[in-house]
Parts: sequence; structure tokens; C-alpha cells
Amino acid sequence: MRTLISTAFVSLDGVVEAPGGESDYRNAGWTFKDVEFLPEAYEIKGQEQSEATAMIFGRVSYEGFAPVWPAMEEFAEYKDMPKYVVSTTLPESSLVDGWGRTTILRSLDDVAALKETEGGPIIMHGSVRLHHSLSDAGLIDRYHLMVFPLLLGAGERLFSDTDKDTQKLKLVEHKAYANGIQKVIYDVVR
Amino acid sequence: MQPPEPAPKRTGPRPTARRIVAHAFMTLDGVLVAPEERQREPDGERLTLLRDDDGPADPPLAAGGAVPTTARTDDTMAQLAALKRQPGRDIVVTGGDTAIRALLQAGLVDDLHLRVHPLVAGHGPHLFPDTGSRIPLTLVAASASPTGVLHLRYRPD
Repeated sequence: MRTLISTAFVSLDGVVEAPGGESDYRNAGWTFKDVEFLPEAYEIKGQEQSEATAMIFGRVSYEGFAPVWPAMEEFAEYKDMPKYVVSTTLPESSLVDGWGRTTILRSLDDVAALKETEGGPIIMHGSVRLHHSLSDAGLIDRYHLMVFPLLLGAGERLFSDTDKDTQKLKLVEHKAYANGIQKVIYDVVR
Repeated sequence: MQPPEPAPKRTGPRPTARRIVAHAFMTLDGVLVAPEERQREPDGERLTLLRDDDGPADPPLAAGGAVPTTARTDDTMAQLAALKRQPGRDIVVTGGDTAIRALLQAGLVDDLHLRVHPLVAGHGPHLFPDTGSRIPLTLVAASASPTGVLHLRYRPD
């Protein structure tokens, strides 16, 4: 079974909304506003790019990343990777060219089926709503988190507050950087 | 030979204000962890903050005293702020559903010891409020236990 990895920038209080400044969210751009930039704190981004063999997105994240990521040097390895967008509404005509073979998945069953195919890890960036659904359905296998040293108070959170059984995790890696960012990797225990 | 000079009297400023050290226990998704699962107690003068529905109307706010966290939260915060200004040992606050949240929002926490458990709880009371201002923090120390619990020390900026 292929590993589905969720990778996210998250505040200490679990907020993931608009880390790069892309919306009207009050605290947009929080990954660079209060925290000193340290290149090595982002080492996981290179590591996961080398490991991943496919990408998966929710519609909103796909629409946000697709116009910009194909040309970005720091995401060069992602360019030709197969991509999957989970959406009941996104039309084929909205898919961009030149960013790898992209398939639209219409249900969580499709995601589960994708995990049963041959191949290496599938990585999910952003995609908050999709993340909630996949996490609640037990389809996520691993978390790559960059935890920023701040409390944001308001904003969309990485995890939903669905009433479900407590999920156990196994800490795989933990590293703190001089600017207060932490790299934390967990496997989901089944 | 002259006798030695007597040592000069100390005349500098009084010892610095007390610090509020908060110990909190949460899951990865920020849900409070039950008391029976918490780790080792810290040192310092203990102030036990009770759940919302407990506690007498007007308890003494002193060593080992219990402080209710009902509608008198504003009073409680004011009392704690006053206590901080006096010299003395650290004031240690452990657990408490709304207590640490209120302290953080009031800007009274000097040292936050957070133990993040390797669990995703989903539903449940959260440690951090989902309204309120943005608080930048400084990570003072971080380590992980063999069971995967992160022990993080933060100082609000």
C-alpha cells in the first residue's frame, strides 16, 4: 500500500490557514512575519520532494498552486510527477498543462484505490478540507509538520473536531531549529 | 594593620517579579489531556486551578490555595497579576481547562511548558482559544520522550 503523507506548516495552536500570505485572513503570511528565516529549517521540503512519487490536492489548493508551482525552481522535482486532485466539481478543463499527468478523483474511495496501486509515497500539501476528510477516514499514513513558534488564535486548523476515536501516532523524527521552528514527523498507528 | 572595611550594604533594586510557569498537556491537535495521563509535577509554589464547576465562592489566593475559574476570571487574572509583582518563588500552574487559556490571553504566562502527546483526539476541549490575538513565542527548549511525547518550553515574546 502506498504511503499518503500530509505535509503542512502549522502554528503551535494548530492553524494552517494562509501561511504564505495568499488571502484576506488576518494573519496571512505568518510563516515569515514573526519568524526569522533560516534555510535549514526548510530541509524537510527537499527531503519529501525526493521521496514523493505523486502529489494529491484538494480543489482549492490545486487552484492555488497550479498557476505558480510549475515554474518554481524549488519545486522542480514535482514538475513531472503524476498528480491527483480530489474534487466532485473541478472540470477537466481547469487542469493546467505542463505540470505532469493529472487525474481528477471524485471520492475518498478513489483515494483508497489509488493507495492500492503500485508506486511510492503520495504527498499532500495544504488541502485543509481534503486533509480533514482523509484524516477522519483514516487514509493518512504520515504527517510531516513544520511547527512555527506562534499562536495565531483564529484560522482553519489542520485537524477537524469530529467526534471520533482517538488516533494514536508514533513520533518518527523531531528536530528544533534556532529560529524556533520544529520539524516533527509522525506515523499513524493502526 | 587596618581592620578590613565592612561589606557595603545592598541597596540595589528589589528581586524581580515572580514568574507564572504554566504546565499544559495536550494532544497533537491541541485537545487537553486528562489528569491521569499527565507527567511528573514541577517544583515551585503550587496553585491548583479548578474546573469551571468547582470551587468555593471566595478562596484565599495563597500557597496551595485553590482558585476557581468561573465567572470571576477577570478577578482571578487581576489577583494573579498582583501576585506576580511581589517577590517570591515561581507560581506554577498545572492543567485546568480554561485557566491556562485565560492566562495566555491575559499575557500573564512567562514560561509555558507544553507536553504534546502523540495522539489526535478530534473532539474535546482545546488548550488554546480559537479567538484572540496572535502571540509570537520563543522556543526555549525542546525534547522528546521515548514514548513520543514532546516536551516544549516556550516564552511568550
